[in-house]
Amino acid sequence: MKKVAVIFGSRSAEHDVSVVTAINAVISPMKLASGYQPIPVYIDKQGHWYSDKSLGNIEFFTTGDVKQKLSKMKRINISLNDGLKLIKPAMARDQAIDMVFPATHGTFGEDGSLMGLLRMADVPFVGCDMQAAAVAMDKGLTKIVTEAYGLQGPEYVLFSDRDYGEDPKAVHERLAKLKFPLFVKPTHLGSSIAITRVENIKQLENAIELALHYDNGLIVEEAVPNLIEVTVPVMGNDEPVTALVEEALKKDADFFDFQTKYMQGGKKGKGKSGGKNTYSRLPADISKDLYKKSEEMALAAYKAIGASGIARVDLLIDSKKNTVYLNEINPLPGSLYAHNWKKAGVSGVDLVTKLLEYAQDYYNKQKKLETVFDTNYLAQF
Amino acid sequence: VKSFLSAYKPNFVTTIVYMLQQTEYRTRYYLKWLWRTHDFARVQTRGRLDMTTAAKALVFGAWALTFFVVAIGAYLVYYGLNSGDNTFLAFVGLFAIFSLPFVVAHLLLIPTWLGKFFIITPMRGRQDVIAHGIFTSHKWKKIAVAGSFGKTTMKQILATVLGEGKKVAFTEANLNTSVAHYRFAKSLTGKEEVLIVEYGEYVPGDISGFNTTFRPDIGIITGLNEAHLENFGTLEASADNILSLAEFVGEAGTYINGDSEKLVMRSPNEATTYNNKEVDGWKISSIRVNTQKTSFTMKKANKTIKASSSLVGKHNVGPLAMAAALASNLGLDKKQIESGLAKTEPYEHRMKPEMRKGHVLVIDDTYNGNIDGVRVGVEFLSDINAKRKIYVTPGLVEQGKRSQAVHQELGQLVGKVADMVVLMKNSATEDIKVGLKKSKFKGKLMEIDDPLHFYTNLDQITVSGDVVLMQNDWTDAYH
Repeated sequence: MKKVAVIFGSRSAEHDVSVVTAINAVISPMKLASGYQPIPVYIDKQGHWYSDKSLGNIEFFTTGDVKQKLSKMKRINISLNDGLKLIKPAMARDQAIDMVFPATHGTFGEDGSLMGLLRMADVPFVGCDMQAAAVAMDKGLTKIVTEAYGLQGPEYVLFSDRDYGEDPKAVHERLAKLKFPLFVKPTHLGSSIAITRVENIKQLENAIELALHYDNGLIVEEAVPNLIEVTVPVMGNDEPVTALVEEALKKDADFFDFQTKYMQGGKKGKGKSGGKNTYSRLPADISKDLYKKSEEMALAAYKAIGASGIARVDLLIDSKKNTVYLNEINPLPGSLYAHNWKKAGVSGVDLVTKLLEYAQDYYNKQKKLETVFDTNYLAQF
Repeated sequence: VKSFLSAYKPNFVTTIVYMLQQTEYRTRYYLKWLWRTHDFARVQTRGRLDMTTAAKALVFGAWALTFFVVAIGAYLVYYGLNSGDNTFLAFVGLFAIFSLPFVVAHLLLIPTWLGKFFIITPMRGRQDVIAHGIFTSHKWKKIAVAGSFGKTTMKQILATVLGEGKKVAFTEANLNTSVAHYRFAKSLTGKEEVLIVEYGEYVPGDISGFNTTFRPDIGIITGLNEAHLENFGTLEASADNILSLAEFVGEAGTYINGDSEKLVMRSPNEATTYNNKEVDGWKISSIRVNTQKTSFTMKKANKTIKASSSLVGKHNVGPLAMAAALASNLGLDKKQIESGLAKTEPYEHRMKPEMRKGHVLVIDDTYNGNIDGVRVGVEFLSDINAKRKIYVTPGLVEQGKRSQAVHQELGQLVGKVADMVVLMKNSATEDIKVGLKKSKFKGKLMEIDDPLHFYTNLDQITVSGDVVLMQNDWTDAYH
């Protein structure tokens, strides 16, 4: 029985989304999968680490005073020597970990930082490795890397807070090449936080001001006309496969902000509304040609950033031009996009099991790479 | 060690009283559970102790006994260690404390025996007399339903169909004991035209006793199998008990399920049989079964009935046709009968389909408890189309000495149609696996340690288009 640490929470705007992903999409099915024992490892919003069986139940986070409950719980430390170990306080026995299932979203986790830690611990982990996660979580880097692979996205301008602070005029000159309407996006934040759609210069300036409160890098890109927004979950290592192409249905707003995504039912119709509001169509109602192009674009983008395990690729389609553009890549989709995989024929238990198998395969392959070798470099000193 | 120490935890007392309640204070079942249980901390997983007056008295008595024994034991230890040559007494005291949980668990049976002898049995006798008086006070058409399986469904079908033209009263849900009959009798107003009473089988001779109280005009016997072997020892004893209904009402008033081979070979020759081909001169044709409904046509002389029901599975055709034939005999017209049949619908936990989110059809047949029900389920699975056919079971309870053979047969039956089999791990699991192997089952097998977690997370194993058949259930008493 392999002990799998499911790490979730963390210092992220998407902390709460991560709790749901970890418990509903990872821990619950893993309890039914043979050969794996999930160990909940929770990082609170202040960055403190906890591990306790009770953290694997959603009721822990949805009932009572969570902070008070946590205050009664002993924090843990982690050891990276000879694999990953959870160092528990006082009399409790330390817990050796065989594998890790990262279930964090956004900063201090999904952005590659957790993967870096796990690489240091030399433990197999599910999902994208550090480099792919870091690229995917930076919209600017994603553009640069995928463009190098010839993948088309909307026209854009990338700049930092320093660029804007030192010479805003120069930035606006670059922005003048773009055609309104535009989207202003922080490069590192997910869940549509601080993303604004603008129609004119005044709105653009305000949106930049707003976005710079959240991030030090911004991307401004042209809106795709005749838009059909689709998303494609992808899974695998060397030979990845897609689930179904899922179409986001338009609401009154022209794009999904955090409220729409997670509080009102979101793209997949979950959230507090109890799934009554369905904001996606599965599979997407698009031509066979566009469907195929979407799958191909998703797989190409997945490979371009070196993703492994699982990711979700968001695409924008100009339905008149019949063109598919890459929007962004999410290295750990919320709730693993299990609803889509389920419709595609992969159950929750099978999804988690496959991801753990991919993690082990990836780890085994990485272990074969030479990382150290003997030299006489030090002899010269 | 952890399991052993669980007997010394404070909740041990509520655990044993809970199990007395779960086994309905039946000594044999309680002792069987007690003697095979190792970890008492994992008993109350499906439910909690219902604090009835009897339960409160038992909990109080158990704690009183515990304190008494601990006090005496402690005194003996103290006295033994401090009074010269009485070390032996110290050991006796230690032994008394050490063996306390096991002594209390057994001594608790004494008040239940006394309660049964001095309170329950005399009270039941009085209730039977009262019920008999009520049942014979009016000229009702009285129908009794007995059998090893399918009684509640049969009763509900009859009540629904006959209810279209008659004022019908019937015993609720699966309540089928003498107490339930007494309460039913007390609820009658005298305005009813038809009474339908379900007979349970618990001990040899109980059906004969029910006949004496209820005095039915019509007897319907739904089947015979090994479902109650633990109570009756042999199938013959079970058959004798059930067929005492046929003896009471006479062959002319008896309807026998013709699909139950074990029943037919022991039944009176002149009894009317019903199955999915014929009943009482009605010929059945054009049977259609899908995941939503069952339909068929009945013809007799110049009469035709087109039946459609939300009950799923070919096995329902016989009971539905039997109810229609009886309704016709009791004077209901074609329109009333067809309307009544159309109103029949699945009952809780009996082949009840539920379309869940993500286009997954779950058939809840967890009240099934016998191999004939498994055959019915397997037949249903083979009759329908699905992306994957998933069969979920813990196995069958109360199979007595035939448990091994029955579970191997279950495995063989299921292995031929299921794409995936999910077994709740228990003493029957290995036998089911042997059966699956014999059937050359090539699908996926899952073994579940925590049934509660499984049932509440069923959606984690399914994909769109799956059909899941959940049969049988093991309460805490069987683990």
